[in-house]
Amino acid sequence: MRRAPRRSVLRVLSILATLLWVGLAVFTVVAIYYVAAGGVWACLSEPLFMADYDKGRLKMVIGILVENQAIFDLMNVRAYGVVADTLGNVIGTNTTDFYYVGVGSELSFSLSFYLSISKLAANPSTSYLMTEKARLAINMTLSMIYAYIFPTKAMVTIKVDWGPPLLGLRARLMKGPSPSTTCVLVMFKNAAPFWFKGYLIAHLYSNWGLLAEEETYMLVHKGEEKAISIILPISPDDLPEHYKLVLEFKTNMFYFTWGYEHG
Amino acid sequence: MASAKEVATRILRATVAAGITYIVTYYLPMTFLLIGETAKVAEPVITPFSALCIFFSAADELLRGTGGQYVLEVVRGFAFVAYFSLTVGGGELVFVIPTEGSQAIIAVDMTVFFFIVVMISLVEIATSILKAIFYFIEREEEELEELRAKLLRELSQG
Repeated sequence: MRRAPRRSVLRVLSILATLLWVGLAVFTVVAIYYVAAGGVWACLSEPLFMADYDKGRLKMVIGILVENQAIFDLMNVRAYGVVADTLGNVIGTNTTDFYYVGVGSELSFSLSFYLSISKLAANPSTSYLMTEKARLAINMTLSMIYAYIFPTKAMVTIKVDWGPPLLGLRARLMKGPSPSTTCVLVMFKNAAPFWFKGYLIAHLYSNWGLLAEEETYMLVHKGEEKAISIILPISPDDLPEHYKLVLEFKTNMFYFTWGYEHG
Repeated sequence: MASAKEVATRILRATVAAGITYIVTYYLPMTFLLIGETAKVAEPVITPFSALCIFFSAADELLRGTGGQYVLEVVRGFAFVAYFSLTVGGGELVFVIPTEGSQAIIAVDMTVFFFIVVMISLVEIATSILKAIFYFIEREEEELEELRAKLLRELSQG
């Protein structure tokens, strides 16, 4: 008589544990099977650059496609990423909203990074990106909750070549068209994925202060090699042994100063 | 004392149980469920799991019907908790999958799964402890019953 309740308690507990094990095992095997069979997959596009000329920034867009042919929903699907150069300088970060991908459906969305060229130019550790080619690394993470109990992250690094707007920037002083003028010849190539327009201002300094300055308007197309001359109202004979030339780029896309010292 | 025939039967049953467990926990998943790269990635996780399952299914058959069976069940519960906590380490299973041009790192957060496993294991451990307690209580009760019957017989004879 006393053994009956004991046995029924044990039976209930044993059945409960067995059912839970079987349920968990079947659930996990089915979840893994659909992933292993390619039921859930994602692909990324190559980064696409789009210039926002009004705001002076470069938008880098990566398209993401997530397809769910499994039997569980994908919840909280989100992408986030960090753009950095090879020196480890973080250039941009961003994240997307949360999305939901139901069974048998697909979702395409994009992750955009907004790169302010002026900020890159103003930062001493990233200003080299204005004049030198570089390789950027986009560390992308796609996170989601698969099969309700498996929060999953897929991390991938995309390499992208960076073309600077002032590739190979160099300048030199020459005799001007008249004896009282000096010509500043500025050369560079626009390897950036945008065109730009604005003013190039040349300042010439001696140890005692400003000697001369002049500006010129420029319009530089994508991929264009440019040679710009600015005539300074100073005779080459009046140039001191030691002087400093500062070039100031005031364009619709960026503000950048560059200089070199002579002597 | 168990007879030689009983021992042989137990060994045979343990061998069959181990074989079936091997097929279910290792051979079938590695052959049909996980293919190519996925199998390579999953093998270090599945192999110790399968070894544990094989060992405990065989030992269970050997100790069936004895008090040791319940002790073994408790040990099994703790062994699986230990296995899962070691396997998922910091709570994440990380796989590296080569893709076009670069590598994709897949990190699966196993915290929720592990929590469920621990909960079920605890239910199982509790059941096994109760079984062991009831088993030994019943054995004592049976001995008491035998003594009582013996005493009654002696009293009636006297």
